[in-house]
Amino acid sequence: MKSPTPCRWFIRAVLLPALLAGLAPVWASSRVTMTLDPPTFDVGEASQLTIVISGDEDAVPIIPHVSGLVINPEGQSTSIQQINGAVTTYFARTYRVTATQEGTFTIPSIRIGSLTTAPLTVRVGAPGSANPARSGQQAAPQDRTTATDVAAALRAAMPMMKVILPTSRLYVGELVPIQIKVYFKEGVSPRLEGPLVAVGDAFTVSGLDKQATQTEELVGVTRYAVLTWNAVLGALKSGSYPIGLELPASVSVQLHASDADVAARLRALFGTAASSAFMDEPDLDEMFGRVIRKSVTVKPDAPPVTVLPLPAAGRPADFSGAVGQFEITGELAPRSGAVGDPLTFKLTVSGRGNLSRISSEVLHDSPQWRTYRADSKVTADDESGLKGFKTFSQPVVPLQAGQLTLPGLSFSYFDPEAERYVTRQTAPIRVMITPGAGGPQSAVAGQGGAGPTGGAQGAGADALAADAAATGGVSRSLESVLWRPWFMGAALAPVILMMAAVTAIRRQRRRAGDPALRRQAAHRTAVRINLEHMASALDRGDSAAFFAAARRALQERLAERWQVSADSVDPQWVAGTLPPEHGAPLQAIFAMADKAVYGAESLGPQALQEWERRVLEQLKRLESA
Amino acid sequence: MRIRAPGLVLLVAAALGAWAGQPSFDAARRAAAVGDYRTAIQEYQQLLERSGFSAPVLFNLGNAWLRMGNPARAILDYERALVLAPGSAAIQANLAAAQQRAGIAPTAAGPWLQAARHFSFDTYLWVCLAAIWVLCVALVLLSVDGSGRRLTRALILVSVLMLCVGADAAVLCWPDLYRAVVQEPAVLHLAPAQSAATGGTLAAGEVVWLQDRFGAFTLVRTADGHVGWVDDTTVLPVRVSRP
Repeated sequence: MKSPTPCRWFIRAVLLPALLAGLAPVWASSRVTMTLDPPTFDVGEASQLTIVISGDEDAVPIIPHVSGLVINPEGQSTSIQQINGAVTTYFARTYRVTATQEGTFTIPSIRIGSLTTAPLTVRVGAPGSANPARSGQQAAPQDRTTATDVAAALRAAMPMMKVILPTSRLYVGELVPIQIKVYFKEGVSPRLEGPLVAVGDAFTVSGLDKQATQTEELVGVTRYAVLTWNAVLGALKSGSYPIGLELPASVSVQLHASDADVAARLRALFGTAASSAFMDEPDLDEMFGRVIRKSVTVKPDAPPVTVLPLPAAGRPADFSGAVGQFEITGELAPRSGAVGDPLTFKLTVSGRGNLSRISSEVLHDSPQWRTYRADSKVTADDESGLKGFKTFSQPVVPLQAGQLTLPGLSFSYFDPEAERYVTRQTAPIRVMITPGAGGPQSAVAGQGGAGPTGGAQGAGADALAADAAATGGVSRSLESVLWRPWFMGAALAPVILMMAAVTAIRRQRRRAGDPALRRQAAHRTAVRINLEHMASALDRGDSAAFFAAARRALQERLAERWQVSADSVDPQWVAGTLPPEHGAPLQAIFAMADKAVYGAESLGPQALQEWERRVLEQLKRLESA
Repeated sequence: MRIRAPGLVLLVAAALGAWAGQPSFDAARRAAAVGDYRTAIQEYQQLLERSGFSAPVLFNLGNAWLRMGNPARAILDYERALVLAPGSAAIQANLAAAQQRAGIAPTAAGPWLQAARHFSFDTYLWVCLAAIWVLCVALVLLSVDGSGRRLTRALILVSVLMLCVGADAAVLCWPDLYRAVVQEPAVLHLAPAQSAATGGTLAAGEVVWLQDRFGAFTLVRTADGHVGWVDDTTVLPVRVSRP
């Protein structure tokens, strides 16, 4: 057997115990902890019991019955921690603890799989006694005290939501402006994960600002970044209810402790002991094991709001649920008309309150008036929709001529400030109606049975305009000509023709202003004229005139082709400019022309025709060359 | 000759018989005058199918429907008659009567739209077409050198004015191309399916505007701005290609 070497002895005797001693608290405290927050409370209050299990143990704790305490499960969460590559999973379960009587209770050890928690002592004070045990309570074991402190620190770092109401009690149907403020402690990096939403069925939240106003506020010695929304709160049912609002957000917390044990506790407790507003599946974001990002759902920290029912006493018969302060006006447009003319009666309810939910009395049929269904429209004066006016537009048709009166309408509402019902009344409206002068008036008056009959084309026994006597013009279709292809063609054709004409005119002008083009046109005109002279001379048998014209036509064509003067074109020029195979025929024609013009040589008709063919052939060749 | 005479007689008799079998405007009027509206309606409808749309025939047909107690169908025929004769006071009068019998509120139109409806949409299209032709001719004349520039400029001014007025009026009347009349009370669905949620109701005789079509459903917009899908058998468009 070998004796241990000094090195091995040092490792076994010093380092390993020291290492185990150092890690022992970590292992011991990270397996299972049970904490109560707050550890003391009064009857009627609640405390939160948190059991955090680290490692692979995920058994469900069995909560024992403790006489005098009620322990109900509230939620659970899971978090994962990674430090230097070591991954640890934390399962946290929370329970709501309330007491039915005051006293000191002990929650016994709870067995969770292979783990067991330490017993926990709970002190419960009388209702409203401000339990002195809160300050002088028995010292808890070291691990629980640490967890409670961390939870308290975290709770202080959590965002808060406050709802500022102008009054502490509302009436059903009442709308009030509110301010919603969310406080983020300085140093906590907040991030909004979603919009502010209303939950629950006791209140409505409308007119919420699309963008929150961001300010800073000093509360005590702590500075907060504050997000503020303005909105309108509406009460839906009577009773006492908390205002249901939720803001999904996340916060990043910088850990100052370097102790991995504290970090582990912090992570384990973050989703459980700090606030019930934590989500079930926390999103942990870790940077070097020092920063944690946590998703939270921020809820209002406010007492329930009392909503009173509308009093039954004194409720008017025409009350339809309007709550607020309103004024009404009634008007008829136009203020005059003929029998059968449609007029519009407008009842406007303006003021502050639940405009969108109110309805009003409308006019009904009478011997003087035929009425139709009223349409309503709400126009808000401000973004919140709390102030504005609602207009009820009702078409009415006079059935009789003369001075008619539209009866006044009443509108009742409940004034929550005066706490009583108020009824407003519109004044009757007098309007002068003239007899119908044919057309629609006569027909409608006939239907009403009280007006004159007769129309432009005469009326039947049932007061309808009489049938037409002739068929008149006929159309094969009632569809618009717009859908016929030829119509589109007829609309496009002038545009295309106009563009073509304008283009041609401009082109002609451009050519008229170009000297080269002008010369070319002159040459071609000269060729055409000389060809006419040739034909004329041929008919007369005038050899001299024929060849003079032929020579000139060739000169003009050659002058156009080579851009020279026609007078400068002669046999010498042809010999010097054109290749022999092309120049020879031309020189022959020029030589014959000299003989005919200057030598008075006369040729017969057949010979002239042969020369004409040659000349035309040369002209054609030169044109296409 | 003996053979030809009976043949000719038969031919004439057949022609007379065929003529007697044709729907007659006067016969329809006579039937309506004695209260036989069913026969009058049949005659008028056959006349429309044979000859095409005519404002007086549509007007008389609407009268017959109204006297038969079908104001929704009467409103449709009056609306169609107004397409061909937009300024007719008689048609407008009977349309108002039909609307009242159907319990439909008279539709209010702004002063500009009222003025624009004095003529038909197609009239404004013809005005625009004429203005385009005049404008194009004037522009060609303007590009030609010579006298008459003052006249050409006057033509351009007039044609541009005609084009603007015609186009504005046509734009105002544009929605009228998609008018339709509800023939029986219908439910507005939020989606083109009978099982879809409902978003309102339509009264028979109500004028709606066609927006879209999907399967057996038509998307319509009502005068007060509501939009929904209805079974396309319950609404009939005013402007149709055939009777």
